[in-house]
Amino acid sequence: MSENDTELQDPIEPDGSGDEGLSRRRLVLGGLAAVATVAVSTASLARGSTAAAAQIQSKGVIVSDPSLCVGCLACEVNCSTWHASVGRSSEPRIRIVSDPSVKLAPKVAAYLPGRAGNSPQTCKQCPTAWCQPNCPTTGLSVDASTGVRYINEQDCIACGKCEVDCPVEWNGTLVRKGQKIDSKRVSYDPVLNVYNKCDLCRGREGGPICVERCPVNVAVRAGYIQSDHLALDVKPSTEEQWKRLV
Amino acid sequence: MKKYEHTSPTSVQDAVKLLSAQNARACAGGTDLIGIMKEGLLPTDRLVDLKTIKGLDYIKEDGGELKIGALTKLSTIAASDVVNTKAPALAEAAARVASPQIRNMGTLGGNMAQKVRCWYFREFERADCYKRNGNYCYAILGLSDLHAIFDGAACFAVQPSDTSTALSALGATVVINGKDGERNVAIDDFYIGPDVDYLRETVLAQDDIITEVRIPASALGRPSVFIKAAPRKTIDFARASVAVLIDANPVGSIRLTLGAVAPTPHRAKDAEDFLKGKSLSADNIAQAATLAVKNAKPLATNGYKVDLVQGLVRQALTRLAS
Repeated sequence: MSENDTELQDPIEPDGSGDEGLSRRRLVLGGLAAVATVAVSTASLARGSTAAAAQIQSKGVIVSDPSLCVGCLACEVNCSTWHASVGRSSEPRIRIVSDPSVKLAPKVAAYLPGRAGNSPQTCKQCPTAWCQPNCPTTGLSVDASTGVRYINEQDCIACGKCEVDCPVEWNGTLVRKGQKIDSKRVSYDPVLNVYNKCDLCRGREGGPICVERCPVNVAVRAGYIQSDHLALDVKPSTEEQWKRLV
Repeated sequence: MKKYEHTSPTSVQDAVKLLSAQNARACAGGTDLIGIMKEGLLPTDRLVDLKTIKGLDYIKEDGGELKIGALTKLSTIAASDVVNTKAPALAEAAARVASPQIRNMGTLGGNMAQKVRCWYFREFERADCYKRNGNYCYAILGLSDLHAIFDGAACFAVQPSDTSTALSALGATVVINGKDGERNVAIDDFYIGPDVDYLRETVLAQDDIITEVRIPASALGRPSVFIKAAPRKTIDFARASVAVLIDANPVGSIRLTLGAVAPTPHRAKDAEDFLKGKSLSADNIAQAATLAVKNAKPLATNGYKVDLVQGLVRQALTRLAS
């Protein structure tokens, strides 16, 4: 990771994570034993402070109805664009996976009969944040107020433990240019050398951008498509919701 | 039309410097840019007129490659003996652009770098179109006759350049000059889709200029063809086009590119792979045409492009077989 690390502007942690502008991640990567010891100790303390938060359930989780999805990739593109605009990884945190078994709901098929077979997928904001406890830094954190499990990229050392611990596979063929995906819902960004996951657009006024900008959602809200629910939505993350999602 | 500063550089280096200013735009023939500026679709404070740079309009064979200066007029390319002989697909593509008047003004570089023709982008009221830094694509649930059947991502506008389709099939290299000097970009990497950046169609930065296009020796003198389908025979943009380059029949190597059906020139790789090692028989041509649209996902009103592309591929390969 380059020196540019410290220049990333994040609306939540504009100067890292409160270490007076000195990123814990940079210290660990620096390779100086003494400095690293201080850093890890600091990280352990911080981890302890978020351990209780780890038990907090997320107040929200992105849910999708594949039968309303036309595979336009507006969710992926807007996810990338917004996260990049606030200095975070531009890898999409939501992906549309091809699923030939998915049929379009008649109200959408009437518009776009040739665009079935899409399954939007993202982090399920598990009731227990399995991805968090083994993180050696505060790279993977739980927001104390919203319960959102998110990656603090300034502190991520790309060790990959969160991906190993994530219980949800992410396999298949993406609608985006037929690329293959073989990952977990926490995934690696080789460009920035950090992991990322859905953070429900933490810090964004208006909530998750994928939900706001999905064109089917726009049509449903405007009444052009009659539906009692959206293609992509944010629902309370309860045990019952999670069981339905997995 | 909003007032702007008109500048006349005499060298590529001067032009690059002038283009570093806010809202500076490079202008070659101006046949696309001036219209966009009049419509207020592209904020322009400074226009850098590339026509005052000498020595960027040429067609020459050099080191086995065919080199074409970026300021070469489309009409010159269409009439060029060497292009017609060595890279006929490019000559045919240049000849099918717009009208004689526009081909006399329009340049190769400008044709390659033109903005999209999406009717929502070009309609002033649609200020929330992605291409105008908005957050919505009207084509997805609206009228999509002009739009992409491959690789749409949030925005579904297609690459309208005829020469880009031919240059993709010919495996060209684009020479770009920018603030860090000269660099060569393969044509397959020159165009970028909306999944990478929906505000741009190419890798060109604001202060980059195309200076030359090179067609490799491996493509020169080989059979190639370009066919375009548009509602009008002239002064119209392609609804679909195809360009094909083969080495021989039976086919050893092939590049088959579809135009105006995706945000970038779209290589039909399934069809290419199928034809390698095969003769251009009627059966093989029919199968290749089917494979060319294997992954097409049409929107509401552009399903006709799936059939159109298959017909164009059959026509192009049949011409190469005879």
